[in-house]
Amino acid sequence: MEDFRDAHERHWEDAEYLYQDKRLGNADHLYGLSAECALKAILARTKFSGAQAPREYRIHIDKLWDRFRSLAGDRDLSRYASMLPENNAFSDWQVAQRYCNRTSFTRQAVENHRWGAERVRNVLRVAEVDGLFQ
Amino acid sequence: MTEFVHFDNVWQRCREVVRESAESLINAGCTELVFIRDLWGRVRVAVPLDFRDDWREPLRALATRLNERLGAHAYPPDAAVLELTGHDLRQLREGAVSSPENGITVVLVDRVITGSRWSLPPEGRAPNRFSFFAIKGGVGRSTAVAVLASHLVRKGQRVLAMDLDLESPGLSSLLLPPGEHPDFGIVDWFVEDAVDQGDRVISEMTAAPSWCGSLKGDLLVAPARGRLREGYEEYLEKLGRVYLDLPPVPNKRAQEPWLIRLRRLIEALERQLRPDVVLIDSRNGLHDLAAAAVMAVGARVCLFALENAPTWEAYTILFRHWARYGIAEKIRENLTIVASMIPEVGRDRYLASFREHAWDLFRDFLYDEEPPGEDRFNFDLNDEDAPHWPLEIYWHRGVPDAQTVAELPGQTEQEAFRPFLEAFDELISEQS
Repeated sequence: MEDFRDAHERHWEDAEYLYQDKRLGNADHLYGLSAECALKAILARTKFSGAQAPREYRIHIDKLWDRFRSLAGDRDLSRYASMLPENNAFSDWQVAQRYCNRTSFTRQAVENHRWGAERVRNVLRVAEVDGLFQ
Repeated sequence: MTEFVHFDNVWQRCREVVRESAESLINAGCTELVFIRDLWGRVRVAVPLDFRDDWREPLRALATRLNERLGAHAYPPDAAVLELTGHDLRQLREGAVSSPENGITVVLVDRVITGSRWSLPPEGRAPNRFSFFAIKGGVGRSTAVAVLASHLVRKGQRVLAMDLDLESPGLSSLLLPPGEHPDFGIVDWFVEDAVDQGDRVISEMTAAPSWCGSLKGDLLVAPARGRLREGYEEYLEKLGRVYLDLPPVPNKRAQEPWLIRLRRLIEALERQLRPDVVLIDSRNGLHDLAAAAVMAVGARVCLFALENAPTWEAYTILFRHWARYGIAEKIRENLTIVASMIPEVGRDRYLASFREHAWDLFRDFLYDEEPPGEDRFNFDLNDEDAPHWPLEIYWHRGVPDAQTVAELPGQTEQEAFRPFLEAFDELISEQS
């Protein structure tokens, strides 16, 4: 059973834990997953009519960020899409990077992804205050 | 200074870029491109998630060209291609404008915050529903609806009159004397329906005005708001929630847009009240509430107009939009134009000029191009059965004095509204 909000939260918490401990590779991976889950949490409450994410949403944050902004329309998602910065903070992030050597993660790239994950997290906070999750 | 590329240049330039890039795209097997102009007015090109490897190079060239030609409306080339599933692409094609460009089908998709309903075909018609819309306000639309409601009730009809002008309600006050509003109104239904208890207000959101008691038929008024009373005053707080799309419930129901909820409300009222005729007073202008009344409730639509340039210019925006989105054929049979507030002096000249302008509007955007004839939806200027031939309402000094329609003297009503009411009698008998 998917619980994107909780998944967002635990990925974020663990990413922060690893980041503080300078374990950049896995922190980076989890920042990406945490951002993905936050957007999917919003989509799940507005677009998914089944218990699981439909196929068109089974993409990772490197693609999901742009898709979320580009397909937003009418009133429901526009409010949240307008809070996401234009430049996809995860355009250089890939889920397959989990197979990479630890030395390939630079501090700058991880900080960018942390910044992006935080932006997405803020969007989720607004959605929570709006009462999207009941 | 770089060249100023503005919003209106964007689609034309996308088409040009496709024409210039068509050969390499077709050679790679790409025959359709979906362009998305997002909420910010910036353009991306959408392709299938599993697009073929040999598309990569022509797409990169296309993205670079778009970046060079669209100015501030472009994305950087490395962010200009959006990979989407077939499902996404299919959904985007609905309500989009398509055209062939050198062998490639170009689909242009606009994402907007409001007004998307104007671009989709109207709902199938429910024969007893009528909407009343004006592109500009102050044309006596609500008064005409109120007079029509009272006229139909006198003739023995059971009439439901809905005040959908939620942002500037008026119809209900014209029909309901002070103190006769029901406890709840349309905005109350929307907020209670959002917490699954719309049925708790539905039986308390219509009222029958006392002045109708002795008349042959029945009038039921669904106002925008309920009776003002202590503890009931949060109108704007409710209005701000009317446009809420209800979220999906997994395995139970899909997301329910507010327009579908509005239709559900109308159907619920019809089931409960069994009206012969439903009159829906729309908000004016190119607003979402008006799009609802004109496009989404399955009504025959009366378009109120004055004979002046601002009115025809504004209607031209709307009619041109319908033509561009390919829905002229689907909407045109739903429309009836109303010449409202026809002046006392120079009526014939005024009406002749009105008809000319209405004819221009319909002919330019909604009528078939072929001349009038069998199986053609095209009409001569003087064809009284044509949609451009207006129902007539005359300006009358007595009309603005009446606080409610019950106060309107019979003679005033006759002098101002007789042709309109008679034409409506015919319309209703045609529908039934």
